[in-house]
Amino acid sequence: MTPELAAIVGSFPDAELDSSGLDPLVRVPRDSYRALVAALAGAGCRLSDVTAVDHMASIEVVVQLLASASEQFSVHCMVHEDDPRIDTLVPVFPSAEYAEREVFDLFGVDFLGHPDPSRVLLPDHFLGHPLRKEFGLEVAPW
Amino acid sequence: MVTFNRADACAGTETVLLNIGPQHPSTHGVTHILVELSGETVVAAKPILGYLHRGIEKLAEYRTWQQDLVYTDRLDYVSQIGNEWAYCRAVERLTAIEVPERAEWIRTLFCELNRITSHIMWYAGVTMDIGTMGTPFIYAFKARERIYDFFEAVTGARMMYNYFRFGGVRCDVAPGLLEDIHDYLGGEFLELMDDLDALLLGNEIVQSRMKGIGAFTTAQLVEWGITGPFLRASGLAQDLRKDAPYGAYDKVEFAVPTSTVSDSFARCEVRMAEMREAASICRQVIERMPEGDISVKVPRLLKPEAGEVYVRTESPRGELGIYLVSDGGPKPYRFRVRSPIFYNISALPKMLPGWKLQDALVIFGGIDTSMGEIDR
Amino acid sequence: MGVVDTAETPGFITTTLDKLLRWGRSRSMWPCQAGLACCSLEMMTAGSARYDFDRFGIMFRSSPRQSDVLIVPGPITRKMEPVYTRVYNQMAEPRWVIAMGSCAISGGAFADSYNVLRGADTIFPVDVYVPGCPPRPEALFYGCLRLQEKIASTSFIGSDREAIYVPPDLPPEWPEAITDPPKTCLEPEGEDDDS
Repeated sequence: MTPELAAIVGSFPDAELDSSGLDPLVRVPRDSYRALVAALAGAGCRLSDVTAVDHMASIEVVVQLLASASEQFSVHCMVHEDDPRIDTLVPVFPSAEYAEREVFDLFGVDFLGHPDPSRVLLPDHFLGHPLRKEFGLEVAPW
Repeated sequence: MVTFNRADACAGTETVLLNIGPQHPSTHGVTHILVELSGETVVAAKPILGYLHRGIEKLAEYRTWQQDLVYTDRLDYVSQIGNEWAYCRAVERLTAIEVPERAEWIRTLFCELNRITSHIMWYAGVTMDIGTMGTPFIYAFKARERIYDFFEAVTGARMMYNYFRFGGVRCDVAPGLLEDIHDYLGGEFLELMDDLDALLLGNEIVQSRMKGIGAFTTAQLVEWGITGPFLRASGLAQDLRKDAPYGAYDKVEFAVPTSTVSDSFARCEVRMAEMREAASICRQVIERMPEGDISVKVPRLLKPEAGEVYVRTESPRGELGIYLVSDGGPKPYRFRVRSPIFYNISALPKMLPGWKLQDALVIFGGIDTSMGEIDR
Repeated sequence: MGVVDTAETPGFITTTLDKLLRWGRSRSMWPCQAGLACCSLEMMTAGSARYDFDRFGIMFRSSPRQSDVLIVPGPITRKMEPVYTRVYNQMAEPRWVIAMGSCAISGGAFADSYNVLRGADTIFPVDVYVPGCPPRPEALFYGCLRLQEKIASTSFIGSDREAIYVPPDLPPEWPEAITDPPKTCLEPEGEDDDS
């Protein structure tokens, strides 16, 4: 990660930079999530993906960012499963709109301030959020 | 000359909501775009996705890592090998498996052949969108069938290859076949490409329907999250094969076609040029391919250490990303596909308003959708 | 044997006419172009120059109103189900269905997905099943030719023409109620009668 991006991350006291994995990873709590991503966008980072991972008691929203065409890193924010709300990134990255709809659709995370918080992949009358671990599949008998 | 002034004649006008799809005769699969038309001008457009949502990301958590390779073929079902390679690269990065050199060259060769067949599929789709009754489609499929013969000779399948493995490829390519591919791409294919160029780019009807349509600036496209040939036609030479090379791309010479005009015609030109570049890459790969192993030994039940990885590849449609999270078990904890067309098509509500319906379809054809990847 | 022969009391004229109609129907099967997923690419390829559907009289029609065969190329998801049922209902009888590919036959690789129907025959009757993933164009041809034989041997004379659909007899090792959607994830749908 470039020093200036690391400095931006460092300017948020509750964000921690983890360089132990394959790519740099920034963990940030919900309160500074959008401000941090907006600061990184201001420094020229491009959005690659917004997704989520279900960790049973909490859901981890993952934002893949690109510092340059070949350098990538991710911002992770945990939300508790009883209160799965997080700020939307659409004002910062307009391309996150449909990706956040998909995270809502499949995980049930509410994005506060999203222009169109509806399901995108599943039918509107579908009950439940399939990619959560407690949503079981009737696994085929073969 | 008579001019009709209907301002006092009617009390008001209404817009029409038109469903394009999900069942429609084009080749785009189950695409559904809800457009609001005022006369013939699109006022608003909204793609409705999910008609092919098969739940691959959830199913992948119930299958082993090797079994998930079969699902990757079915994601973007027009460029199948590209998806396999993206997934294999992601797992290999996660588990630090070193792929032998010959396997990387073979992978590059087949990925570029797949790029040609994928662009031919786009060619068939966009020409049918304009209204040709199938002539360019039939001509282009000559090349596609021939390339499918090459794939079938190596992998045994015409479409869903299941050829790549973690650590290499499943079986080697016969030297005679490499010569056949080399001769075909240098001779017959280029003659056919001249024909296809003349049919599409040289046709004055196509030119009048495509020039000036959908001209967006690079800044707009980057803001909307567009990647791939659509973005390159606006002037930004963003191609992961050059920016973050993988496979044998840093060992062959090729150009990244761009255009500064950024209209639908430029997108066609960029894709046709990419087909020629892909053929040139394949020929160079065949000429320079080293001997050696084609795969390494990988445990039968792969159990990567806990961790996560995000790998991006240049698919014919844009930046394909695979995000894997492992918990140390034999099955992925999370399998996420960053679909380039999902992001490209999500910009339709911003791209289509203001254009006439027929122009909107031409712009949509330039995105080159493949619903399997959008909906997964 | 009376002078007047009707459909209920077939004579020489009606049976010859029936033979002509059966031959005509089978040699001009017009499928509806309702592609779903990967198999639709092979369906298109079967129509292209190398394989050429047209020599069998098979011509793709855009509208289900003009077609008499529905080739189901790919998985039918729950979101697509009402759309595809409407396409099927819009086809005029006599109509036939070819389930192409393993997803249309049984759900295929996605059979245990939360959003994929376990086969096209859960929602409408299927006449020919063409296995493969995807089936080669030659395999699809074989399926179409078998359907041609079936059509050519289906007479509407002197028979009870009311079609009664019997869902398939599934082998016992499948869980029960496999044709019903899992009750956990769908609300009971309202009456949506459109045909």
